[in-house]
Formats: sequence, structure tokens, C-alpha cells
Amino acid sequence: MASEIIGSGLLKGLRVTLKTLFKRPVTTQYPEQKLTISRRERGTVLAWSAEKCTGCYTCERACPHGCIDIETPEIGQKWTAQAPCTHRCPARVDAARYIRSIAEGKPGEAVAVIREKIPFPSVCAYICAHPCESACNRGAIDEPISIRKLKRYAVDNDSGEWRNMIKRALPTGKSVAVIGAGPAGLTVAYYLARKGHAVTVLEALPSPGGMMKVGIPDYRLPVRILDADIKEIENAGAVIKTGVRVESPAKLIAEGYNAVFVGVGAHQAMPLGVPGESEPGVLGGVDFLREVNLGTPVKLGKRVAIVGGGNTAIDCARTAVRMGASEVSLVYRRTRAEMPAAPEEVEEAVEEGVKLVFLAAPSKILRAEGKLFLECVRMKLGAEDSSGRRKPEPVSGSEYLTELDNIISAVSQSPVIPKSFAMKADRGSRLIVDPETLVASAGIFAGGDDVLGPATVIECIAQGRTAASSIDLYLGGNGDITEVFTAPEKVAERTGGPLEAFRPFGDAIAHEKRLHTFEGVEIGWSNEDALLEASRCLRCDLTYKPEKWQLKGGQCIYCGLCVEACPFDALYMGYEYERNTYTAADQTLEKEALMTPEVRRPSGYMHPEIARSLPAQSLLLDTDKPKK
Amino acid sequence: MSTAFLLPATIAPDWPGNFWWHLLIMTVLLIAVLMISVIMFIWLERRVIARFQARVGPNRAGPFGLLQSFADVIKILTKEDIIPALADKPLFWIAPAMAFVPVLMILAVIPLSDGLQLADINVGVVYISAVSAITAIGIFMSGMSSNNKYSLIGAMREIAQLISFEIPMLLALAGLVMASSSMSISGVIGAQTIPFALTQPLAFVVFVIALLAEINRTPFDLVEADSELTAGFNTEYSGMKFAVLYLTEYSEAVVGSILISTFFLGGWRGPFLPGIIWLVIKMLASFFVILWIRSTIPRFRIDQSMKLAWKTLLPLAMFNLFIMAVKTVFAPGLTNWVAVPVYLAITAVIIIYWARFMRPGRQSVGI
Repeated sequence: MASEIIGSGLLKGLRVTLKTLFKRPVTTQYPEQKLTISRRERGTVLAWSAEKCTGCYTCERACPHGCIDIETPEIGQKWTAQAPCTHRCPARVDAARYIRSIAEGKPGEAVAVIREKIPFPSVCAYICAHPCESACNRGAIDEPISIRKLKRYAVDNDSGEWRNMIKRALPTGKSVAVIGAGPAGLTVAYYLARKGHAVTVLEALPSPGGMMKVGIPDYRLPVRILDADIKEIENAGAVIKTGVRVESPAKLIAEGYNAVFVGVGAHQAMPLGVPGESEPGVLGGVDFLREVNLGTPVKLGKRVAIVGGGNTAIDCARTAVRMGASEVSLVYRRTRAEMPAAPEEVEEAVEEGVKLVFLAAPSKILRAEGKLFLECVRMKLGAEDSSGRRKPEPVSGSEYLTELDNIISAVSQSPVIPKSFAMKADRGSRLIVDPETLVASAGIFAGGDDVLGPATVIECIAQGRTAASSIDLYLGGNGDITEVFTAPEKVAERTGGPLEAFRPFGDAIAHEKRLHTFEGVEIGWSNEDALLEASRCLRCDLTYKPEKWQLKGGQCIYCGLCVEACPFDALYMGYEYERNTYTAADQTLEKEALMTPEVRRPSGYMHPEIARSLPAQSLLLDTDKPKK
Repeated sequence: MSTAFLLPATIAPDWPGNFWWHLLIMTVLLIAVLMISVIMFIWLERRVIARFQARVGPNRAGPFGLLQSFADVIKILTKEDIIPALADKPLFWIAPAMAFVPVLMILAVIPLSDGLQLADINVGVVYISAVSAITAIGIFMSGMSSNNKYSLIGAMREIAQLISFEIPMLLALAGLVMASSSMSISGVIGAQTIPFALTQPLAFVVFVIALLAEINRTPFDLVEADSELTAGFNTEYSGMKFAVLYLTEYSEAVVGSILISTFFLGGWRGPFLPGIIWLVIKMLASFFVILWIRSTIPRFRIDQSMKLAWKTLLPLAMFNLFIMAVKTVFAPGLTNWVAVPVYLAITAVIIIYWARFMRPGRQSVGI
């Protein structure tokens, strides 16, 4: 026994250090670094702001003495404002509520909550840009709730119970054509089909999904996930016709459709704007992704450079790695801090061997002796521009040449609207529509990337919802596309989760596998991890305005832990003379409570009627007054 | 390749003016070897420890940060040299030299290759143990003369450690002497057709642990325990004098690695490669183990360190001596590869049972 303990401890220690020796040293940068900064400033005055306090009881749990006394009305019944996550979501998915469902062990209900707002729960669970996480209040304490991965856990463990609550409307006899089966178009089709309209989705590409299908590589969004979501939309009654290229929306109206929604997206890669761009071997980012995703054979060499710093560029780089390119570099004109791509994706790309070249911009593409060269010019960061990012300026004379097999330009995308559509577009060839109703002209609506410019899936879904509502109004409906898949929520207890806890580590598939296959990289969470993560939620959507926040007199030692724990900055601690926080009555009564009965001489404060007659703020009884 | 490293076995008699030439060349060679090794070991230690801690380590000065040690030397030498007001000046001055010179003296009897040795004296083992103890005196002097309570505590700990660990160390070496029936270092190496690490594993374990304590490496760096004693014995030192103390510390590490290689790993012996190369390989391996231990085990308290010396190492060393005595008397010829597993098994059993035996109450030494 003893020998086992002694020996194993030492050997285990030696093993751990030796393992570390063979690991690659890692330097983490700010966005990935987990930092907590103490907001505690010890003082003698504790103040509480009624406006900021949400009654989350975090301070009460943090207090080591149990001296904080909060009174809130009817715990868990008051529903008021939207939580920040819900408010930030373009489609207003009630993130706070489905996280609560997950914390209660009901992933099926969580999916139902998500389905109430978006028809693509699984797609969003895999690739949503999660603006909700940047708004999360928990981020002020340690780290935002990992809302997207919780959604992923919910859809992975879906029980399908939302299907029991589907309400079908009677057919209205109206028909709608949707041009483009992307996120916006399919959302419109889904909601209009639910409202009883006959919806036909016309898609030019051989399979539906739009950018979700052809713009996002399979390792991020496996095809079966997307197909499952599209299947639900077809189940709702929408008819999807692929391989159909539409000539003009007006012609469709003439063919008998009552309304047309244009959601053709933004599928045209923006040119780099440098000479030599038409050389063979230079590919457009989205064109490259589309061909790979549709299974068209793409000839890719060993040395590939991708120009750009957004999510498309990262997708291209990681796809190129999987296509067998051995030297993949990504050229971006600013630095990593300014990259618009999601930081975790950049990390993963670096792990997969993508070389990042910062502060360089292509200036020329040339082909000499059958070889392709990219000439780049070094940049330096200058003053801040209108978007708040520092503007890169070329350093003259710093041009350098790189020999490459392929160059992929992934700087941005723009919509291509055929001339025959006869629709008004602005300078970025984005369609001009009414921002409230998305009406382009009578009976013709537009939304999605072709209106927004290259945007996120969730923004397009939100536009789809707006469009569906206004099309329904146009067709004589009430424009109400609200769906209810869940029973009204019962009393939910307010908890703030553990005082300080970080996200569980997400798993990924083996590194070797990642380099050669398009299999999904991310692995979903286990039950334990998901419950732990969901329990961190502060439940900001349940607002309980406290009526009273007070210290139980005399016990507070002014340690400041409650101030540090408060996620909403509702507590303040500063430097004042300590006694100022007590009233004379409090102090005298506390002092009396500490005395034994023999020596206690009750003051007037024991008897309120006498206390009223005493002079204000008098701490001392007559017998204690110093003699002059 | 430089010829000096590959000199034939007997350089001394064949050279003109043999003794003085030999003395001159070997002295210069040994000092050069020590200095270069120290600089390389400082760099190596910082890099390897960094990797053990998932860091990169010094990587800016020169390729792979190789010039970092030179930069540090320049930094240290340009620092102001301060002597505390109430320090014992002569002692304060002489202490660094007193600590450093004995380390250099040890090298005099170490063969770097077959016959490449300053002096092959017939009591080499005794000489090494005698001379190495003087370093502790130098460290004690530096701590005592500093007029600083932390330095003094560090100095006292040094003496306590020296006295405690010298005994098991010498008893372990006694086993070697018994097995090789020679006290000359060449004799000890000559006896190692199988390295003593395999035929006397118990002595090997005891020797390495005692050596770590003697040269004040973690986990026995109580002398300069920076969490309690600021910097221990060298708190008041700066400038050149500090540089010499720092040099002493790493020279001890170098010489310690050489001693482990020489006594237990067969010194310069080895197939195919020249002797000096084998010695360097073995030195690096020993040093790596020292670093590995350093980055794994936190510092002992002084009482834990003493308990380890007196209650564990001393009895283990005696066991080893007893086994060797029995072997020498009853089976003098039993030194072949077949016997190695037996030795290893005996060692494992003794260590495990002794560890269990030495666990009275909650006062385990927790090795």
C-alpha cells in the first residue's frame, strides 16, 4: 500500500513532466486567453445601485459571512425584458430559455424553443456566427456561455417532441415563388408553407441550401445535417425544384404566382484588383468552395496562397489543406487582431498547418516560364479608419515574389443580379428594398445576401422571417408567423451557476484525420459537459427587481467579495468613514445585543417611543458621556 | 576535428619535458572544457526546463538563444560590486574563489578519455570526496560573512546538508571501491565491463540523490530557497563575485554529471565512438535526468531533507555495502550480464520495503 503510494506519485510526476517536454510550446493570444481581472477595491463604504441590480443573488452566495439580505418579489415569476443574448440574435431566438431547458436535462424542449424562431436549428448549431455570445453577461465574470455548442448538444440529442405541437393552416389558394434555396429563401418558403400558401422554391444549382451548401465546407457543416433541416422544410409543404434558372421575377408573376421572393445570394467572388488576375491558377474563393462542395474535380497544386482574412478565406485555406496542398499560406493585409474571421477558426487553421502572412497585400500576379508568381507588398498599419480598424498602408519598395501553384482570392463576395431581373441595385450591386417590409416592387420581395451583402446565416434567416411576414400580409393573411412548440414555462428558479467556471474544452477529431478528410471537425459535448456549461447561465431573462438589499448589521467585514462577484456592477465599494454606513440606532442595538443580561442597560432604542424623543445620531448614553 | 581531444592513451611520457608539458596542456584543456560546458549547460538547462514547463526558453540572442549566456555574463560583470557595510570583508572576498577552485580540482583526476587525464592518483576516490567537501566551506564562508540573516541560514543549511549527505555518498562509493579493488578513477572505470549502475543499482540511486543534495540542485536547493531565504547564501553578492558563485553552481552540475558518468555509467568506455564523445553523451544524459528531477519535484523542507539522508539513504547505502561485501567474499567472479536482473530485483525489493518501513505515523519522508 504505502509503497504503491510513494512510488506511483513520483513516477506519475516524472511522466507528466516528460510528456510536457515533448509538447510544442504554445503562446496564446488575447482573444483565446482566459483572463479574469479582480474588480475588487476594498473600502469601508458599500453602496448598492437599485437600477443595475437584477437580484441574481450572486453576491449573497459569494458572501462568506452570510450577511447579505435580499428581498425579491415572487421568485421566478416575473418575465420582463429579453436577455442580452436573445436581444442580440437577429432572429430573436430565445437562447436564455433553451439553455435553461438544457440545464434541466430537456434537450428536446430546447430544440422546440429554437424551432419557434428559426427553421435551421441544426445548421445554426454547427456554423452560426453566434453574436449572442459576445453579448452574454457571463462574459463580464469569466467567459460567455458557449451558446452555439449548447445548441449543438440540443440538436444532437433532439427527441423531436416539437412535432407534436405543429399547427397546419388551411390552404389559402395563393402561390408564391422563391428564387434561390438559400437560408433566406428556405426560411421564407417554410413560414409561408406553414401559413397555407403553395410555395415553390426555384434553385439554379443542382442541390438546395445555397451558401450553406456550397459556401461552407463539409468539415464544418456535414451535408446530412443540412439535408435534415431542408427535409423538414419540404415536410412543411414547400416544393423545391433544383436546376431551374429563373429569367425574371416579373415573368413568374405573369405565369400566375401571386408573389415572388428573390433570395439569390452573393455568389460572386470580388476581384483582387491587381494586374494578372485572369492568369490560369487564380481562383475565386467562393467559386473554389462551390466546386469542391458540389464534387466538381478541382485541380489544386501543392503551394497555395489565399488572399483575405475573413471566414471565407479560412474556409478556403482549410479546404485546400484537405485537398492535399502541402504549403498553404494566407495573406492578409492587416494583423491577426484585425482579422474578421472567428478567432477559434483561425486557431484551428493554424493547427492544421496553415501559414499566416500578415501585413502583406498582393500587388501583381505574373506567370513566367510556366510558373505562377504572386508579388506582395509589405504593409504597415496607419491611422484608424471609419470601421475602427487601423488602415494598412503599403511600404514602398518592399515587394517580394512567391512562387505558387494556385492563388485563391477570398477578399469578399458580391451579389450578381441578372439584367433580366430588372431590379434596382446600389453600387455594391445589392438590391434596394424597403427596409421594413423588404418590398422591391409590387409582389416582388427580396432579402438575404443579395440585399445585405455577404452576411451570416442567422442574419439571412432573420430577413427571411421579415419577408415571410410581409408576403403573408401582402397575400391577405395576418402576417403573424409566430409558432409555438413549447408549453408555457413554469416557475424557474434563479441561479447563477458556479462562481467562476470556464467553458468545458471542446473535442475535435484526430489531427491526421482532419488533414485528409472532410469529416466534421468538432465533436459535440457529453451530457455532463453540456449540463455544466448550461448551469453557468445567469438567466438574465428572468428579472427580479429586488425591493431591498441590505447588510445584516455588524457582521460585514468589508471584504469586498460581493463587489467582486457582482456581474452587473450593481455594488460599489469605496473609501469613507466606516460609521457613516450605520445609523446610531443600529449600532447601539448591536452593542446591546452583544452584552450579557447582567451588564446590559437598555437604551431608548429598545423602545421606539422613547427613541423618537432622543436627539438624532446620538450614539452615547448619558452615563458614557465624557466629563468636561 | 581537433587532435587535442583524441590524444593517444599515454601522452605524458612521450612528450618532451613530459611532466611540465602534460601539466600545462591538461590544465588549460580542463579549464577550457569546464568553462565551455558551463556555458553550454546554462543554456541547455534554461531551454530544457522551459520545454518541461511548456515554454520556449531563451531564443533571441543568437541562433536558438545560444548567445544568451554571453549576454548574461556581460550583464553580470557590468553590475555594481557591493560589499555590505558590516560584512567580514576578507571572508567575503575569498569565499567565491574558495567555492569554485575545489570544483576545478576534482577534474584533475577524471579521465576524459583513455589516459587523457591530469593525474591518475591511486586514491582518486578519496581525493574527490575530500576536495568536493571544500566547496561547501566556501559557500558557508560566503553566507557567514555577508552579515545577513538569510545568508547565514542558507550557509547553515549547506553545512547540515553536507554532513548528512556526505556519509551515504561515501558509503555508496565504498561499494564501488570494493567491487573494483582500486581507488584510482582509472581503476574504477577499468572495472566497469558492465556499468556499475547495473551491477550496483542501489549505490547508483543513493549516489545520485546524495549528489543532488551536495551540489544543491532542486529538490535540495534549500541553501538558496528563494521563497524563504530571498537568495540564500548569495543574497548580498553582486557583480563579478556573484558571477563566480553562479559559475560554481553550474560547475558543480557539470562535475556532478561527470562523476555520475564516471563512477556508474562507465566513464569514457563505449563501443565505436571515441572516449571523449562517450563521456559527453553520458554527461548530457545525467544532466538531463538532473533537470527532469528538478522540474518534477518541489523543494524539500530541511527536516524532510535530513530525514531522507539519515533514515533512508544511509541505511540503503549500508545495505549496498553489505551486499557487495558478501559478494566480494563469497562470489568474487559473479559479475556478468546474467546477474544484472538479480541486482535490479534486489534493489527494487529493498527500496520498496524500506520505503514502507520508513513510514511510521505521518512522518513519511515522501521520496
